[in-house]
Amino acid sequence: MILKLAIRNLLQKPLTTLLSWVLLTVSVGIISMLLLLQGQFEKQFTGNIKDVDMVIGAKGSPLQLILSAIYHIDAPTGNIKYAEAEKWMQHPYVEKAIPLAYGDSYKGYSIVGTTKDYLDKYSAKILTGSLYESDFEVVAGYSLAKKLHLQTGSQFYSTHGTDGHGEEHKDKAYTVTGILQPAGTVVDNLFIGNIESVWKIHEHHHHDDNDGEAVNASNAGSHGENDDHHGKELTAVLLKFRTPVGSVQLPRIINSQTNMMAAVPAIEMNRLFSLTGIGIDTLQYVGWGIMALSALSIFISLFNSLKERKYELALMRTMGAKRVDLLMLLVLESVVLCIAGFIAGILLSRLAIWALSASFESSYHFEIQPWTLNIPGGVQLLVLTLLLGMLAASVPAIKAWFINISKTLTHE
Amino acid sequence: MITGASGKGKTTLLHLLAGILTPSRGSIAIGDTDIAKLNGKRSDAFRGKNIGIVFQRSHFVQSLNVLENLLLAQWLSGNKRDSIKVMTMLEQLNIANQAGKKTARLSQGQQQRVSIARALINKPRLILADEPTSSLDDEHCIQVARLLQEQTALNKTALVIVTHDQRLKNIFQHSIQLV
Repeated sequence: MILKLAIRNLLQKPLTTLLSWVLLTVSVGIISMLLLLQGQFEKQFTGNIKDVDMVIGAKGSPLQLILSAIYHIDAPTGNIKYAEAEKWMQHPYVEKAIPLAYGDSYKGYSIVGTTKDYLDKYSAKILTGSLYESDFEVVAGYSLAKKLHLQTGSQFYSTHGTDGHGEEHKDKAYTVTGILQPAGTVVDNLFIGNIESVWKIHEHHHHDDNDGEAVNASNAGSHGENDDHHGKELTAVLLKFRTPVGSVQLPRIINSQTNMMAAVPAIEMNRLFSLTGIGIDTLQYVGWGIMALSALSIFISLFNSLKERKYELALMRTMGAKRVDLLMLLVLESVVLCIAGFIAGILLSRLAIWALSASFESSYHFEIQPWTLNIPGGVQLLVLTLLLGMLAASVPAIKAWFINISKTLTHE
Repeated sequence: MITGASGKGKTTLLHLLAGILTPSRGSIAIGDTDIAKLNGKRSDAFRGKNIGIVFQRSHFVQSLNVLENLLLAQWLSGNKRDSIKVMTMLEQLNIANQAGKKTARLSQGQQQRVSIARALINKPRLILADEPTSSLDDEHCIQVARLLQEQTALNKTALVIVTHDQRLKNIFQHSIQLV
């Protein structure tokens, strides 16, 4: 009954209630959207650097190297000689080295030439079809296959560069031999084949494409696995160390003594997070600010209505209402409003993310699940919202507690 | 009926009787209960169960309609909410057709009848009426007074009216004047 009365009282002043509710909704919406984005963003990014202690590539920006070699959302920094990279791939500190040759794409999705180790690293399993066997065969990630409507047996021409507007390599077509299971990693949005395919595609390209692609520079005629890697080029190598000493020593040596660059993903990603973190923090402060404002708005509307409702409350006392009942009534009015704001805010944030997810998807191949039930920080946010509601109601509620019934009734 | 000029303490007496004010000395007995000795919660509960109050100008919980106001009165006194009982009561007072309206949209006379209904709904042992007719015209004054008389008789409820309204003298014979 008190709950019903509280709701009725809220509806009695629709505009004031609306203002407080909208403020709450927006603040909860902003905060929970940021929490969700940040959570999924960091989960995706850190999930993908698992087991990659260091990346070797051409000199340039280390962050760019990481973004291109691991996440495939940036252009490659350039090429490195296979022979030179191989020395480090066989270094005693190195447990596993995965060579990558990329730089071509199909409709904006990277084609990565690599070894089977790459698929193992991401525990990628075949969903339909089979693994690639020979040159110019690739497996397609689950998400991109769905989006581009690719099936086993589909053929396509790769495009030079990663933006989808480059020149097509018309002479050789790739064949999709299989689709991978959805994994929630970068693999979902990649074509994966063997390195030789990438090399061969570029054998006949003798024009000056030195802008970051695995190119056969000298040894154009020779094929085969082991004998003529020399002269071939790679875009990057992903390395996992046997010992932590490796990640301390090797990057320094490689960066100072070779014309290659070594970048440590953990360091670069921390740098990136701290950069984007500033923006997220600022937005979060805005969110908290609006929330404080909404608490103030609830407080003022309760406080103002208390003046008008003093008589009403005294009347309820004459009908047998206890002090606690009045206290509950005011607190409930505020708390009900807060819960309504919280629910609407959570929905709003999900809607916003759902609206944004398409654009994230296409420009960064970054997938967000807006409808996940697991709301990061959701419980804390709810508790905080409720506390805020009680705080806003506390002064009016205490005033209601000490209402002098006799005086209120005689001085209307 | 208790009469007296303004400022003589009529309302104070009524509030003392209702347990809204506590006397600094002495005792007030309603039935076997000395309400001067009841404190806080117990006083509220006693009032809700045993006393119905009618005020000079009717006040209601604004956000609720007539029916809900009466249901609230039932609930606050610790009784079950019983809308059939409420409708019967409204029927007796001839305002059943107003049950769904917000109280602010009723006329003065209708509002006062709802107040009486609210005071009676829990079958209290005592009805306290504070200037129940002062703001009504002659016709409604007589109506409301008759209604109070009839209904309290019907429910076997004691009635105390505090007023300076001379029109009531003809209706209520027992009268105490405060001087």
